[in-house]
Amino acid sequence: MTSPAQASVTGLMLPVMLALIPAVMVQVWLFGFDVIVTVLVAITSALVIEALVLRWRNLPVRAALADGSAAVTGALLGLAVAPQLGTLELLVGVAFAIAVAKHCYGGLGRNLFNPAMAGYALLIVSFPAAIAVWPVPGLLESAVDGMVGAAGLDVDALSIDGISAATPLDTARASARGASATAHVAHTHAWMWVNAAWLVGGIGLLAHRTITWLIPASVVAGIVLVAGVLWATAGGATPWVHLSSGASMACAFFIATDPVSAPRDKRALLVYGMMIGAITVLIREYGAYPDGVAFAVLLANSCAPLLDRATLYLITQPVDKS
Amino acid sequence: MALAILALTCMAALAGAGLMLLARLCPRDDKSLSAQIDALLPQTQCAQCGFPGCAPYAAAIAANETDINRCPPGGNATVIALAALLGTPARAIAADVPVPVAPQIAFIDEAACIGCTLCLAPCPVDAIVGAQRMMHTVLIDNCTGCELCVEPCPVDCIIMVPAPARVNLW
Amino acid sequence: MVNASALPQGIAVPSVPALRHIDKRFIPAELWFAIAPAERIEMTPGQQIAEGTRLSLAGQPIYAPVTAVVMRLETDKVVLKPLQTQVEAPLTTPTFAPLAERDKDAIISRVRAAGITGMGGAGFPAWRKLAALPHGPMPLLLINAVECEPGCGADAVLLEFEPDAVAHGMDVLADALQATQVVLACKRSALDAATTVTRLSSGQRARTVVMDDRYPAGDERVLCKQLGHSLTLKQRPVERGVIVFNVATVAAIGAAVCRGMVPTFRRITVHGPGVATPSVVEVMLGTPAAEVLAALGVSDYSAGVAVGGAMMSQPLNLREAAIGQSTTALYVPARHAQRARAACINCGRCDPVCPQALAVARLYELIEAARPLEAVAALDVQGCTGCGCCDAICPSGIPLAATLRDARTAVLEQRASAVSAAIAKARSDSHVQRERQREAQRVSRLRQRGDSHGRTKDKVDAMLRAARQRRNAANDGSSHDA
Repeated sequence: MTSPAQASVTGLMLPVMLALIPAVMVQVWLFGFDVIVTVLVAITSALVIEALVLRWRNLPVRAALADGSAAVTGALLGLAVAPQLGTLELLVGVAFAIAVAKHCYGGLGRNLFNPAMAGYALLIVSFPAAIAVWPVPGLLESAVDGMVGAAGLDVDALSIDGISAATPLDTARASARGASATAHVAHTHAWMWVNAAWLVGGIGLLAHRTITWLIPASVVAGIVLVAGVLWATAGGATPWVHLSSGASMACAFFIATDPVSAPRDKRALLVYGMMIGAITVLIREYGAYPDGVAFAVLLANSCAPLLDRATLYLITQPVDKS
Repeated sequence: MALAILALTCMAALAGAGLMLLARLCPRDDKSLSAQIDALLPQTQCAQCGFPGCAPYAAAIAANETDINRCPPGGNATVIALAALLGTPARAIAADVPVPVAPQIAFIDEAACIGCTLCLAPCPVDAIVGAQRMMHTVLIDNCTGCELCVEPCPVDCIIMVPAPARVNLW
Repeated sequence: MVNASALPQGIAVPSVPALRHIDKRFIPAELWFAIAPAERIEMTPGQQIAEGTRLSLAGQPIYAPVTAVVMRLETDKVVLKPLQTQVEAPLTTPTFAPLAERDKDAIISRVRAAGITGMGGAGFPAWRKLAALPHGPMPLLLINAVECEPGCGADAVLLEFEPDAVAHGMDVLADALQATQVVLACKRSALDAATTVTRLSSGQRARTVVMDDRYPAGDERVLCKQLGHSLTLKQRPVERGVIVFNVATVAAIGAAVCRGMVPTFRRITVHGPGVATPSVVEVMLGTPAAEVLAALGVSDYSAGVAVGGAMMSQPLNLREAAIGQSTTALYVPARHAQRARAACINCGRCDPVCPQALAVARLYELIEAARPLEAVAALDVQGCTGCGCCDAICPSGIPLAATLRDARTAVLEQRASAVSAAIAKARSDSHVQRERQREAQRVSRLRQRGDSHGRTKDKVDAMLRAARQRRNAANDGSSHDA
């Protein structure tokens, strides 16, 4: 990471945008072109809202928009929400992410919480059904037809295909409570592809040295450790299921690596990443929400300054007494 | 309800008593407030604040007899430091004290000096060396620029010049 | 002998175009020497000054590099006009006789008399560095020809074209300091020239060390660390038995001792985006920087000119700037070279690149939050060398190097003023005590003798004041401030 060629914020954000492309492609393939529409609406509204807020704050608009951070926030949020989410709800989420989570805390470089995750958390709390219910992956429509009723998942039909279903994590919990396991298997497949796409993008970021390997590694370690313990003792889903479902890979490579809301010191980053992984699994297994990534990230964000302080305290101990 | 109020009141009273006990057991820093304030002053001993030296000024501040913004050599930095120590708001330098100037030292024009020793006593830090009918000179390293020697000189041979940089930046 | 040293910190140096070497020495139309009026020798406009004449009275010796005529005497500088336009060798007549003694004290006085200061950029008086050495043999004499600032190549040209001058200087210093090891550090591209130099030096005791093409491989602390003499932040190289000199300084010392020459010329690199053909040119000391630029065809320096390079530079005021011993290079940045400045995004890239291993991000946080200087000093901001690696790596374009250097200056100034305040307080306390004692003795003396006409100290003061006022009034209003 010692190349001055990347010495601009745009130079950090642009690779991230490019690395999102595999995930976009896979999600389009599985869930339809609504994904593209959602992502574009999210990016555009993020830029517009950022411009409006900057103008209101009397800050230079062009330079700040050019750095690409608002676009990345919009893109991540657009990919995180279910594609059939209404435009109004999406706008609420984007507005909260940019205007409140980012600018009310001081703008770029000063936000305590990851803006995309803050927006997502708002949406999931305000519109839980609309957010977390994804269209049935096109490939598996027929297989799911009968299973939805059997699994007792009676949700509103919101998608064009006519039937919507929850993510594998929902069904995993449902199956843990005794419902059918086949629905779970069917959906796991689709989400595996999504996570693979995020992983590919993430590896690209690693190769390009935009992010450090430490954060994804510690997030994955956190997931594997806690999931492993829970699977062995309390009959939770296997670590593999956790890694390949939901937003695990997106979180490890794209969300936890946001430099502003993460700590700076390497030891702090290790704890931070593991905290995210661990809390994600715990929320998934024992919490009320289908995916724990957003809340895990927000909780870890709130601990980041303390982690930095604790590790930096170690380096300010006078070493040389001369 | 009454029980809850009683319980909370008792807990608060206990906590307060505990804190008082701790405060007695852990005494404050030995240094008095006046010494702490004096440590923040620049030690120019110039009397521009109206007090004959930094220590009397510090004592006056500690006794709440004067304001913290009367030290021109200390400038705004000293006002801010004093404000932080005392918990009062910082202000601009008072209007009735001399305007702060850049660091300066006294310089005796040796051609004009008559060796009268009248400037030796006013110097609060003994930075002028000389004797009756001998040349007087200012010790550059010890002069604080307080200007107290300028007035007593009967031939006005003392001027203030910019102080040399005291810092080796290598 | 060659050691390639890998440098973990610092940054990779971007490749720069090859430098053009201008063979002809540059003699300007005017020479500027910044000597204050009180420190100049007596001179009048029109007077002819012989070459080698000392121009400064006290302090740093400054010599006329060539026979010249005094053109004007300004408040901040002396302007001379060289009478020669072609100079084949620096100073045909040596100022001093060649030095026969080669012991350390003799070398120090000669170096001091010749007025040699460090030619690597900092300009520290060379004699002071030598005089500060402890007694006894010096473990390592390190000659720094790395010149890691991207785009600079003056030292490499010196190695190639004046190897014997460098070798003589090395021998003089090695003998005077009784150096156990003598190392010439250079870049890979200058290895051949450096090997020639070490072969020319007597006793075969010198060896060459090649440093990576990384910045700041030429920083003396980095060099010491790579050679196995790590320094803590507060240590100077001499405390670890290492003395470091820039290669041009060494050549100048050799010339001063062996041939009695004072510094008259130096090679500089003129480079930067605003220079069409970056070049190395040998210029006379005292040449106005503007003249060098004009002679090399650099016409657009609206973005300013600096001494140094892209990484580390000091801006120049072309109205008064002249080439001195510490001018290593003239850098002309591109127009509108300002990087857009954003807020710190906490990316943490600045910490690993710092060659001094400072907690750069944390220091910046503290300084921006206007925390007390003690907190900043506790993180050793005094160790900052201003190398600019953090500047180069920061995605937000924050001027970290300048911020840290300002904080370093503030810390040093605060410490200096704390020391002088403590001294002033001690003297003031003893003054007050002495006055009290004196007053008490005087009162008791007066009491013994009986009150002499009632003249207490206050009354005497009042009489003096009245006398002074009478005198002032008598002087018809000539103002003496009361």
